[in-house]
Amino acid sequence: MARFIVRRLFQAVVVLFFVSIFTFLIFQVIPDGTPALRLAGKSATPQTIAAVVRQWGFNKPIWVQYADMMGRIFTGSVISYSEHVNVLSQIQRGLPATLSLAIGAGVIWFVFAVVVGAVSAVRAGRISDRLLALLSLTAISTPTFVVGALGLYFLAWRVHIFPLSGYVPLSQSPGQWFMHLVLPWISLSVVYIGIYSRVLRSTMLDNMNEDYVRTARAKGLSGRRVLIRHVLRTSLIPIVSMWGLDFAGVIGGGAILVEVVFNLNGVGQYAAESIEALDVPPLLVIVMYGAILVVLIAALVDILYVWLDPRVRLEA
Amino acid sequence: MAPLLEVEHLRVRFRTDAGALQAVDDVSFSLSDGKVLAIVGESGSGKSVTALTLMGLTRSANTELEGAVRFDGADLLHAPERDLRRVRGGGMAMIFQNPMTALNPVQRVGAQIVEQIRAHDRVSRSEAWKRAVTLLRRVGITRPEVRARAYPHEFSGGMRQRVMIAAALSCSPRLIVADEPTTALDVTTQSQIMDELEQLCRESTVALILITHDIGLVARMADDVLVMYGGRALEHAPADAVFADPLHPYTWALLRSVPRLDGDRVERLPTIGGSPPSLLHPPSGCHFRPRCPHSFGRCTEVPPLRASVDPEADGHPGAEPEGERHLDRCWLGLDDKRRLRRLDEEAPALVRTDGAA
Repeated sequence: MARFIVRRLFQAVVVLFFVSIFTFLIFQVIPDGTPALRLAGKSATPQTIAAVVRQWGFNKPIWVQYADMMGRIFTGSVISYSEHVNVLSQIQRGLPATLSLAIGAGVIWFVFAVVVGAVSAVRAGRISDRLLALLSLTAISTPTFVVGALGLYFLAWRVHIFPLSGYVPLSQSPGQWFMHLVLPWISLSVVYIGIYSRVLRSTMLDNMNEDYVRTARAKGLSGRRVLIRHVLRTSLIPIVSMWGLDFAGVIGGGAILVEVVFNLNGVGQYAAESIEALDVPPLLVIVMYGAILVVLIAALVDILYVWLDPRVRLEA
Repeated sequence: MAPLLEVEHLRVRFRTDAGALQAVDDVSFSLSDGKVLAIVGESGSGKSVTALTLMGLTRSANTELEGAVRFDGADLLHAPERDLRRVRGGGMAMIFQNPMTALNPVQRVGAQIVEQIRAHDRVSRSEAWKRAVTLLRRVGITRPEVRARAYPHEFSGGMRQRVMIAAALSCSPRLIVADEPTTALDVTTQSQIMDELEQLCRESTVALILITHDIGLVARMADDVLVMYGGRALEHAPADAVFADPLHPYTWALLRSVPRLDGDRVERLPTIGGSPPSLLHPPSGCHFRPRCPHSFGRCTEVPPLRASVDPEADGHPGAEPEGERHLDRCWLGLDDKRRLRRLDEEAPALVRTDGAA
């Protein structure tokens, strides 16, 4: 276990190093990326620009700029270009909305994917299976913002079931919190339900032909017990690891579109606004924190894996 | 007294995309309490399908079943799934070929036995666990209270098969169907496991259907032998009779392909040329005909009927069909068979090697 953690930590450092380098460099090479011009304002004199350059350290060698930035990221003292505010506090403000969105959607897509996948596996080849296959493919190929827009139009605009946009904190009103999140949850989940249910269906169909499933039937177990305790139990293993990574991805920026469509003011929306403004510091911070989260959750998934599949050894 | 298990004219046909596949074609046998029936034959002869069908495990929308399977007087072939479930793992237990894959890899072995006990008997979880530990001890697993908590991958192949045997015995079955129980094990473990299985069956007068390629095992354990080929029963007789006076050319070939410790050293072990027939496109007439060195015109035309031969009372029809039953499906006359068999034994080359199906 200790060796596993050390290895994972080392891995995390390597991943974060490369992610940070690439993200940092991208903003160095984009056209019109010179932040000093924008920082100095519309009718800035060359002297003002020069002052801004000195003040923000844009004249320093690139690796020094990189090191400065990384230092500020890990001490939480990054200041954004456009608003001159602390990025960390902005992220903290958006975090409740993003977490509510991601956790709720994560639960929804996992549960629904298991139900849909299991039903299609059991009904394989029949009409219900084909219908679900069609629905899954539709879900996979419909962009998130389209699902969101359709939901908004029909369920919030035409029929006033759900609010049009915005986020209400859970502490303020659990009911409103829930109503504001239903459409975002669905929009975010639909694609994942489609993908996961397809994967689960094929894994289950493979596992149904395993010898131990035949043994389970020969023991006199009911069909349902064989299906749930033997077929589904082993088929969930790959799904769980997919879920861990996708969930981390959603928190780390995967929910940008949904947050923007529903105006949730989460971390993703903050990232989207920063991209529009070519505001590098928030993006770097969000990307780095997202990467840390992905690496962390990936390690947790691996630990969960050992519990799900005792044949797996962490040292291996 | 009616036998424990009666199988009558069992036919199993699978509908596949490539056409209908007659996996089992008119197989009949019966088995009394505590007896051992060996089903022998090459791979693809329908042995395993027969065994699985006894437990209703071949049922599906694409399977056609005909005939009758009576276990303890009750018909199983057309019994509702609920009744079948009571028999599976209860009155009739099964041990599978590959203990490496037959146990659920993510479930503790004790839990797998507990699951079976609780599917049949209304006992508490802890009660069932105690029974599982006792069973594991009975099949020779040391420190069973600890090993019951282990996962299948922490056991060797032989130990896993012992776990399978413990599970099979868990609900005091009257019949165990063992489908090549030792094929996947190494040789030294094989005989150990079979000794133990035999002893456990005798202790509790459990009847055993032993599906195997291992003729030595058949000679040691079987009361009756059923020789299957291409889904059909070619020869069915008490084991003594099969070894002393095998009647079907396929049985001769099977017996001759076994190495003998007491015989002459021959350069090569005789094999049966060709391969078993495709059951999608079986040969006309006798299924063994394309590989049989003694086939003649009639073998191509009609499949041999199931003939009941009493070797002792040959030529006296109707004499003693109960005691000395010896069934064989072959058109050759009895005298011709014995003459040809002697010739075969003297000249191994007589076995055709070009016999394409």
